[in-house]
Amino acid sequence: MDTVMGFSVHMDFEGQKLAERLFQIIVVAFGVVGWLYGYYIQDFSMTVLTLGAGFLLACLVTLPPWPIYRRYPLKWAPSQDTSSTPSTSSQENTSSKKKKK
Amino acid sequence: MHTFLSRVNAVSAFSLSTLAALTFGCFASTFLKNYSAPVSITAANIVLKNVPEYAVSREKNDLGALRFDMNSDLTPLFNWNTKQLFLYLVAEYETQNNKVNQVVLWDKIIRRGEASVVSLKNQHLKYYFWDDGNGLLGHKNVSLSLSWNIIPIAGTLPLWSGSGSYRLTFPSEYTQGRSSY
Repeated sequence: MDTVMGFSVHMDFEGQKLAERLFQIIVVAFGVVGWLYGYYIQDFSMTVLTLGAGFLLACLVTLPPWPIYRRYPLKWAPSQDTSSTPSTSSQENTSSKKKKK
Repeated sequence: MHTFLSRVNAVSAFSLSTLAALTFGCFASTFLKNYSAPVSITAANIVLKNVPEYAVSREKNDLGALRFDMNSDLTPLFNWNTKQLFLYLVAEYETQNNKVNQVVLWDKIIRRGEASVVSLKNQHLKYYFWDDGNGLLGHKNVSLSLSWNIIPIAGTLPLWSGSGSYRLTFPSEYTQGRSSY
């Protein structure tokens, strides 16, 4: 599930929070600087290009699961014998995790 | 956010929302701008004919013709929210048929980056100057003026007029035949 072309792309919860915050800061910062620069030289296409550069940088920084986003792995409970009960707590954990954004 | 694709989705959606906000900012920064400019127009070779306008009927209507000179520096109209200008020359006059007559005689598009100083000498009209009757004969107060649409990158489509017009006087006799303009 959490792989692209065989590579694991999973981020832990703290990593997701950090990644979201980072791309918001990067995109907004490039947008504001680009807007001011475009206003200064009176050319809106430079604003769009600067925002595009910010978009690419944000993609580079936050799309791959860099190690900085995987510093807080979840500590799972040790697996139990599944033959006695059909529904185990570890499966519930997995399904509830997938529902998270 | 935990998979690659959901992060692609989040970054793209956020970037597009930011672009929308920046575009609105671009519109807002030019919304209250003054898009007027001085224009000087003079006309010559004024000819008036009385010929049938077959597109409408067989009746004879007044057809005016003239040449004009026009000078205006439209560079101040170009800012970062101006994509192009649409200039049009309007003749406005009053007749017994109509309180207000407006006839577009000539137009021109100036795109961003093109020469924005209009300097015309002895320019032909682009469109026929038809009256819907015989209202042009001997008319002493036909006003020629230049107006323009600012076609923006984002936002409203402002309509402005240049300051300065030319008062046109038509002869009180028709020119016969195919002569002279």
